Amino acid sequence: MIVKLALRYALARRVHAVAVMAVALALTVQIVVMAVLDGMLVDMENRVRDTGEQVTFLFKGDLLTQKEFDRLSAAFFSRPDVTGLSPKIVGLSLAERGGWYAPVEVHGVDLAYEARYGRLCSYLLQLKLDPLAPKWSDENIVSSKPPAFVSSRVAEQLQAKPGDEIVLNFTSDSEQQKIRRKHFVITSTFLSGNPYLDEMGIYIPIEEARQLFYQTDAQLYERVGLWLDDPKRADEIYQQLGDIVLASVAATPAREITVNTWTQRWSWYYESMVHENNLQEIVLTLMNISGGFCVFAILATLVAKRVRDVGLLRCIGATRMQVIGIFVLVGLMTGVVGSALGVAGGYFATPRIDEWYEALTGQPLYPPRMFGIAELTTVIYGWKVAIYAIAATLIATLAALYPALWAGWQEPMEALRDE
Amino acid sequence: MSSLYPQPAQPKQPEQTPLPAEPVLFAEGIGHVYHDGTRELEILREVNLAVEEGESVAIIGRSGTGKTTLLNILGLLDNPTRGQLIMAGKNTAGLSERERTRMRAEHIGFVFQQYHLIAELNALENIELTAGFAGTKKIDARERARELLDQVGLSERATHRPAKLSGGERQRVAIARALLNRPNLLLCDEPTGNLDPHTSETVMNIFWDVVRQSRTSMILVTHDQQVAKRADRILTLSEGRLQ
Repeated sequence: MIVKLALRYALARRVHAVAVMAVALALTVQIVVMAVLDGMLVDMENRVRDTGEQVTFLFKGDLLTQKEFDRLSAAFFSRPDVTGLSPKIVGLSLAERGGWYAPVEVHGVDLAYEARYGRLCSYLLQLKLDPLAPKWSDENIVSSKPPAFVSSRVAEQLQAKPGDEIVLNFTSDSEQQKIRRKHFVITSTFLSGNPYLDEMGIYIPIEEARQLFYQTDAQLYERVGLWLDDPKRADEIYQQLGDIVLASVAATPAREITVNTWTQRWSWYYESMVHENNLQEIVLTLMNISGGFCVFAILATLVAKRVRDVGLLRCIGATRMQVIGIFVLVGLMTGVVGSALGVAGGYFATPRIDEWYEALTGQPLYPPRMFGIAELTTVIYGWKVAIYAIAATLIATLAALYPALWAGWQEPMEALRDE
Repeated sequence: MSSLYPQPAQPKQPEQTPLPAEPVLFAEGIGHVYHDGTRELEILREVNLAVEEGESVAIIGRSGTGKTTLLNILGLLDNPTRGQLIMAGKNTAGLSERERTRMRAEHIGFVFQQYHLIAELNALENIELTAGFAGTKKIDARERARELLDQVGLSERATHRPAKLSGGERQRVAIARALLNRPNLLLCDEPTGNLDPHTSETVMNIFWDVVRQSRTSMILVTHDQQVAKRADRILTLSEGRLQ
């Protein structure tokens, strides 16, 4: 009878639907917002992971010779979890074109390796270019200068477009007054979605990088980047890979070997995004609690209008706990129904949010040029939805507790006399 | 050998009369004082009352004489300041609130002036309401509720909610509700107070029939002399005492 009465009270007034909708709306918003943020995190993780090697060995001082590199390659490829390898030379430079300047990070890459193993620019936008192969030898761009594959943001800073020439300037610590300059022609631009790369990235042939940074034509390598079959294992296996390096490459007094993984390189960015997501979780949970106050207000009104019923129930033998139980059940029902609707709403709205936002405002939720993404990725974690739904139900039930306790402690005859 | 002499006549043994049944309710020296800030207001002084099984007692009195207060005390909704109250063989003085609530559920039925039906339940469900608190089985309660609804002449209105019932019909439902658990005692506070004379007559005819059939004891508080004179006893509450 208590459950029946609670159900009848819950269904009795249209205003109670407002309480249910408050719970549902708060939960829907929480699911959608977190799906977008979690999607961005996953997307960012993918972009960061796929636009660079997962484990990088850096050889300072004495660079790797070709022979050492071949030995190391063979040793790495003997492991089934290594799927690709990129030799590189990387350095900072100042790009210049006609009075326009831009600080850049120059990546000297071996085209043969990049073509086979590199996965640069998995998230290309706009021009949707294949990263390197066609444009390195674009027959539309005729020039004696070596090619450069430039981030579109760098190109904007230099007021340059494909076909334009740029100059890369470099000064070494040991030759502080001497500036080395090399001329390149921009064959194409990219926008990878990797924020650091998009701000400063330029790719040039490795032999040009050797000349720019080391003034040598010798087949020397500064870095070896590895691609793994499971990038998430990078932190787990990089030390084992390091053992291979130590076994394959001679240790010289002038040589310093360091290693890092993609998560270590990007931890500052990733952690900042995770931190932002956590803050959003807190804000959205507080929003849910606000929804709980709406439930409280409506249930307090419901109880106030039912005081005479409470008096009657106590007269005919209901205990205080039974009376309290009726109204707590109303709160629980509100939470359960509201949560169910909220979850359904969240799952329905999440894949459509970008479309609705664009219909409303005229631009996508995350404009590609601003955020470096081709399309919005959303991720709904089932375990998170379960926690949100349980929390929303709990909040609604707790919101009912005070009005329920108030009802339970009414004196029967005074309650019956309530006007 | 039998005696030849006439035997003296044996004195006739008096017939064993049965012991009187315990009263359903026994109130002795009931007093109640209201505290209003620093003032004390003695509403009831020395109320003594015994109600036998199946007996109906009407209590009349002017407004403010404490009729409702007395009814609250007899209904275990309030505690007397002094005196003792014995109901169903138990002294109610030492009972916890839970025990008093239980006693109300099992032994007392209430009929109010304002009917006090739950708007969200239909007539049948309103009658069954008391069953859950007395621990009556659902199926038994449903059967008994239908039987009572029939007795009060509202079988065809079983699924109607209070908003669709007239005042008289609502009071009949309330009467049926009060009798569902076969209480020892029915407490009625101005049961016809909200009804017009014609409806009042109709309702009270049904009321007395049903109550007498169930042999439930009744204490009825009323201003209506026509209602009061149907009771087995009429008592007047005046200056805190029942006369």
